[in-house]
Amino acid sequence: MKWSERSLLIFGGKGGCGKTTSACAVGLYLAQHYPKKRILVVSSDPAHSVGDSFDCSVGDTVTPIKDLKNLWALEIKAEEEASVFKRKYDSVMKKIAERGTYFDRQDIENFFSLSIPGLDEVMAVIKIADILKEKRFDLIILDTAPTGHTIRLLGLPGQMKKWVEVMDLMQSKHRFLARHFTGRYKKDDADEFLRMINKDVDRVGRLLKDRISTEFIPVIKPEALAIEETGRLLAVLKEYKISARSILINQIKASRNECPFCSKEEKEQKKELGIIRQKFASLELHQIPAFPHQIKGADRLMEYARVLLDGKPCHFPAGKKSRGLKSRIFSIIRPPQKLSQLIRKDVMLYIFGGKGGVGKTSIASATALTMARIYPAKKVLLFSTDPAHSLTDSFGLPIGDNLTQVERIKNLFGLEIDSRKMLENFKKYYKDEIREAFDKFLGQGVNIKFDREILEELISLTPPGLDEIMALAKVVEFIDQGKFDIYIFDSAATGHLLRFLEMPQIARDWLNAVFKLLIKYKGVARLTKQAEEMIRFSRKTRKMQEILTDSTRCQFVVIGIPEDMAKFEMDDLLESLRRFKIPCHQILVNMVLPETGCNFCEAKREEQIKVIKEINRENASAYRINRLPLFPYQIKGIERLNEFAEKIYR
Amino acid sequence: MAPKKKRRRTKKARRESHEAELGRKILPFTAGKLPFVSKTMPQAASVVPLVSKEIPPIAKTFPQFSAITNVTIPKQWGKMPGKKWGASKIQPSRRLGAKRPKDIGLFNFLGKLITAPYQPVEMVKALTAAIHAQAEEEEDPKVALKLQLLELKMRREMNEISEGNYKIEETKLKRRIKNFEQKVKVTKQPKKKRKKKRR
Repeated sequence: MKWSERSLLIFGGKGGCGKTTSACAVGLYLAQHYPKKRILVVSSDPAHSVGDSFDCSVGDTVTPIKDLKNLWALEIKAEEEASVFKRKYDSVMKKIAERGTYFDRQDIENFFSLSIPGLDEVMAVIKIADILKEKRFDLIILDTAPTGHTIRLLGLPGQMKKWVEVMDLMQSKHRFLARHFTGRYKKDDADEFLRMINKDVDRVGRLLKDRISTEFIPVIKPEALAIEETGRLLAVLKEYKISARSILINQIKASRNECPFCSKEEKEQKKELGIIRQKFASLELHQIPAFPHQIKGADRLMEYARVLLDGKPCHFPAGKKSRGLKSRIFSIIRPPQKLSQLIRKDVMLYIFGGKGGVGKTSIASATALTMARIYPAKKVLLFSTDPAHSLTDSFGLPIGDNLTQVERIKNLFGLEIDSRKMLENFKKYYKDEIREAFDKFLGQGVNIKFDREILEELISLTPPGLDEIMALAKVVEFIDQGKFDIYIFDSAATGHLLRFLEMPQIARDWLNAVFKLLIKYKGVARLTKQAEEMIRFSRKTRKMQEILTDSTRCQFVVIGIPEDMAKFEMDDLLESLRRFKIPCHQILVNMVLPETGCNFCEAKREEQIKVIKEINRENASAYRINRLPLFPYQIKGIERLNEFAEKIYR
Repeated sequence: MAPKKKRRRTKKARRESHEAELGRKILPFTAGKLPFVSKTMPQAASVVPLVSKEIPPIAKTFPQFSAITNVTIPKQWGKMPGKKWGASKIQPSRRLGAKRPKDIGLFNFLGKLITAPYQPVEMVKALTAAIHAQAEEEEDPKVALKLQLLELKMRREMNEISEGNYKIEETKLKRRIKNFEQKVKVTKQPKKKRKKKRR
């Protein structure tokens, strides 16, 4: 079945593999070839780049693209969608909460004014449901966030259904009382709201599982880290029963020239392509070559789409041999400034952040190795909170949810925080506590049937971002206990990193609202044990906030690549860091092509230089900017990481 | 002389003559009869229960009292099949004023009717016991001080008081708790000594 005959195409995969480019190019191609089909390209990534890819401004409203009459684009902005949703259903949701709990109007309003962690995915599901309901489009192309958060998005319809069930339970109490006192029950707007939400979420869930209408297309680069991540993604898709029939293998080097840089890269890729063919043998493989220029704007997107969908051969500038290049490569790729200034004795927490696929994990790992070597007396912890971890793949060692000592290095530890598991444990603990509290009461011959079930199920209402708060608490626990001296944080891609940085404040706002209630109802309910735990958690979060904003203890390192789309994302990140008051003095521009003399590399390098100049012009006064070279091989495994570390921190 | 009554041929004779006419033996007609049921085989009604699932005694799962006003049910009314309640599938409690269901025996009903007025008293007793326990706890100065300390911590987290003021208040409260604990120790010790002297 062709892509044009489907109703929903989802492009996903590791950051920097070309999800957005592929989604936009396929959208543009199908719109041109099927003028009667109405196509919408939607981005659910909080760090949007659909507009940058089409080279026009796309907002949170459905925007027509170029001169095409049947192509539209939309970038979902969670906050705005949430505020629209709230405005529309605020009174109904409050009514349900008021009916189902013992809180008064004021208490409920306090809670409703707070922001919800993990809002992006929830609003994406609601927005898609709205679009489906309107039936305005024949085909929706969804450009997703990097893997970790896409997995979360795909599981959300099921979770949201649970939310509706809990709200229905709250409403049941009201229905019961109405029937009891008046003898009958007439459905009202709250019932209608629950019915509507249930139907909408069901529609999204059904569409995702529909093997005929929906297809998930993973986009992959022939790199070990991307292959591992895609393997995990496909396993999740199978679990959710979402159909995936083909894979796009992007950025395949096929220059066939004599440039040693290109040929080395090609050789590495050949090995990985073999693994891909073996690992994903059951899927249809589409191969796309690496282009010597950025894919931005309608013309280049069409060129990309023709290669992908028509199998059109591409004509890139032929490579030429350059004299004595092989020996010159590493002298060329030396960074112009010393990066060693980044390593400071007093800094306790380093955060590496940037767009997906810019090399955050490699640089964070290399920094951790260097730190452990320079300060043998200090204990270093390298950790990640991204649901799609890649430390294990980067080191080539099994680093899991438990503190793992990196082989042969006594003072370096790795940790991939499984925040999902932590959240599950917390939910279990909560349910046990509630059950215990009610059992005490029940022992005296009294039961509160509705409230017991509502309170037990209330934890199912947890927003999807709560797991990240749990991860944060774990790190603060280590800091509190003084377990490590240096913490190196390999973060998620920009969009979700920003959400993560907002998290401490959101958590504290929620805790403050709970404290207010506990003080207000201290004569009625006394949850001493729970209150003490919440105070402890609030202190941890406050401490984390203090550390994050303290320039003597925390350093944020922004990583980018010399490409327009990555630069736009980097600018957003820098602005957000200023807003959060998180100290950041360093920008690393990674993957800068060396002067190889090869035509293919030169064409790419020319574009890179333009972007680097722009970055320098805009940021040189406020930040230290370092360029890191692109290596003709993958940086994977301790040996290569050590080599990489030596080259950048020489 | 009355004509001789024609003797009716027996069933067997009729069949035999008919067989003679046909020139073959007629087999007994069995179609339409129920299949043979052995005496040892259980009857269908005893194999298939009327209710597919055994209903657990509801008195165990049902609350004796519901906290919702006027929704009190006697414990022994449990055998009533409850209505399913909306999507949540919660079985509702029945109110006291409900009519007697058909499946409850008169004797049983009368018994419940007599004990019903006393049952709310039990609930009130249980609640007052809980309130009493809480009041006793609150009367304990140590508990009250600890609660004050907890509230202070919450107010600090909410940024209602500054770190400096929090420290002052915290030390005050902690000192009071410590003093109280010491007092309790002192008052307990002499009693033991006196007992020893008497011996």
